[in-house]
Amino acid sequence: MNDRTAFNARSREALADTALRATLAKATGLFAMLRERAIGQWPEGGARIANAAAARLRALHRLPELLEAVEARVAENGGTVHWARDAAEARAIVVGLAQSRGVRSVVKGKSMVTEEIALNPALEAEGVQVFETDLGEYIIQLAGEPPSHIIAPALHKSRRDVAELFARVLGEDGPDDPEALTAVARRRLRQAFLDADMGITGVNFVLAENGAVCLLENEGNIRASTTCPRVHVAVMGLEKVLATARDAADVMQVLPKSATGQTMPAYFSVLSGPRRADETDGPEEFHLVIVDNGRSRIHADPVLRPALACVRCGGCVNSCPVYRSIGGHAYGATYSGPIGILLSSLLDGGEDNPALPGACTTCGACAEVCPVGVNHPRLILELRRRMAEEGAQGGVGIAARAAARAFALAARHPALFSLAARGVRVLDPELARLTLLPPLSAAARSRTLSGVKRPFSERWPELAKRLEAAAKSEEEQS
Amino acid sequence: MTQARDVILARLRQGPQHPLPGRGTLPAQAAQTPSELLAQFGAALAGLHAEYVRAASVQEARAVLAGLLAARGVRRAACWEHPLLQALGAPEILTEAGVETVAPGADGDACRRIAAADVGLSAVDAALAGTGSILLRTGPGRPRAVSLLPPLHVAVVEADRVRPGIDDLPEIFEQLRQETGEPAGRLPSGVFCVTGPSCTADIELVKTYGVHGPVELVVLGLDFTL
Repeated sequence: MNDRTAFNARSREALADTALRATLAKATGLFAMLRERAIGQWPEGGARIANAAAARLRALHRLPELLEAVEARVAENGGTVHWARDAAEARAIVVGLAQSRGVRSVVKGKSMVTEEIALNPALEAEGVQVFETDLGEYIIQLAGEPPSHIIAPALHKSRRDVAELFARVLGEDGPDDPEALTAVARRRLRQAFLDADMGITGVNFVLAENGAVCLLENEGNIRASTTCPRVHVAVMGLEKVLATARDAADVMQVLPKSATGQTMPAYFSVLSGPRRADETDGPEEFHLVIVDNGRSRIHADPVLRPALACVRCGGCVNSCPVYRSIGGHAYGATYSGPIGILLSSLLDGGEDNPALPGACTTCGACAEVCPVGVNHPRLILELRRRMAEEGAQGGVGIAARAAARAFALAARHPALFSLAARGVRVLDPELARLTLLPPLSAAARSRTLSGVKRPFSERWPELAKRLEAAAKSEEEQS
Repeated sequence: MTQARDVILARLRQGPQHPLPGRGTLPAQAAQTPSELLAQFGAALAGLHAEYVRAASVQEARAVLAGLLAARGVRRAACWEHPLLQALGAPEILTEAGVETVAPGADGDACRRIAAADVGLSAVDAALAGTGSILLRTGPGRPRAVSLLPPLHVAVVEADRVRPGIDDLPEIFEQLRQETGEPAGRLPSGVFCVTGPSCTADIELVKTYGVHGPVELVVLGLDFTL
């Protein structure tokens, strides 16, 4: 159980790790700066984000219809669609494909959903050799660790660490500069691409109008994984659909800029089924595995559906003062940062992560940078409200009940709720003392929280009165 | 199998109905000539750790190709069978330079052969001026690995193939569909939008080139009509 005790223990450990904190500060600061330059300071940025957010929401609101279109178009393109209700079904589908095709080795492109369904151990248990081929993923696979960041999975490793790892595991002794280390990975993995029977990738989005699977990357490992092996299996969360190429263009305007500050990634691949009869490379077979694993539950939720709009750019992660302090591993779940709190709580198995909704200061930096308009703090507050309500029903204590009452109140009054999401400071005089800083200084801002003298639970009765009063005046006005 | 499908779709259909948000329009850009677009494309590409070379005539283009082969010490090349490369005389230039041309073969071992080449030569179906991107589609005589596995990728682009930017992708996809005679709603098996050489920053965020794809990308812009 990833409860508060476990989460706090990992957080304390991370906070005491000065090297980790330096790496986190450097990396998240750099990504946030690149993102700010590419999109924050772009005059069209706001309009572009609105269009991308609308494209994502349109797809979510039409999801069943669009998924059926995807299924039909992929079949017309010569591919096969598979549906998995949960992680176990998804694993069984991919393992089954590997076995029936006599697959001995697999090359994988970076994919969070395959982490989510724990695919690699399932393939390895059947004797299939699995190579993670994204450099960061390759490094952490050799180290036997999970990814610590959605975009840069080996963020926590120094060049020294990587050189030692390559020497220990691969017997490759060489200089510890990134260029030499990258060359080692290129040489090792080139052979793996040429020898592999199957390539497994994620999906950035699939287009309902033509069944094309779109993949973004910088290294070329996804292209190689979908070019050399005879079978390509793409695994996607069922929400990763866009209706049209126009919608894809709208998302492409903001996704790479938010992720790495690039206007375009090095490779944006648009794949429509297996190679055609007159082509000499590319896969002979294409399979698309559509995974639910709790997503349909999120989709059915009247409040939380927008969490599925996420395009996995990592922008919220880099902006988050909690992530910046403790890093990805401390969350103890596949997804970290603000979007990670939501996904790790809401996907199947979410009940095992009860501490995560607490890992948010509701500062709102994430919502400010999200390229598809996800309001993470609002959704996280909703999670907390529900947990508190459940806790209150179970008789968990005065503070929880009071919180439940407040969150229920806020939820009944949307204007008040958005006010709370924008900043509880308005209502809370102690938080109001904190200076508002630009999002890049969010981490610094979070530290000034030490200026707050009394814990929330003590201040609550007073705040509850203010909330009630504010709700009343809100109602009178409307 | 069908059970999973039907259960998932049924669950999704139970979700709440919401109005569909619309799309806002952005101010239109001033129209540019092919030459202007090509120049803008070249400038964007040059900022991406890639090389852009402009040629104003067939003779210049041929000289650039021959020069590249000599300067990089190319001994083996993988080359698309493409009308534009034919028109430039690429096969003759390779032969004259004593470069062996790799045949991909239809036996499933094309990648291994192409990976052994020093250079991959391709021709661009469309380019984006704003981002310095080139688009390459699959088809007969156009192996995907040519633009991926050799350490050097040389691509040739005609000025009238350059479009302003990302917003033009839908029209480009439609153009490629029509050029390949695919039915409505079906693209060629692969369309690859390539922006600069292969790169990573996975070790200490230090930008490093040539991870799995080409270390070097050279684009030759043809600023004339063939």
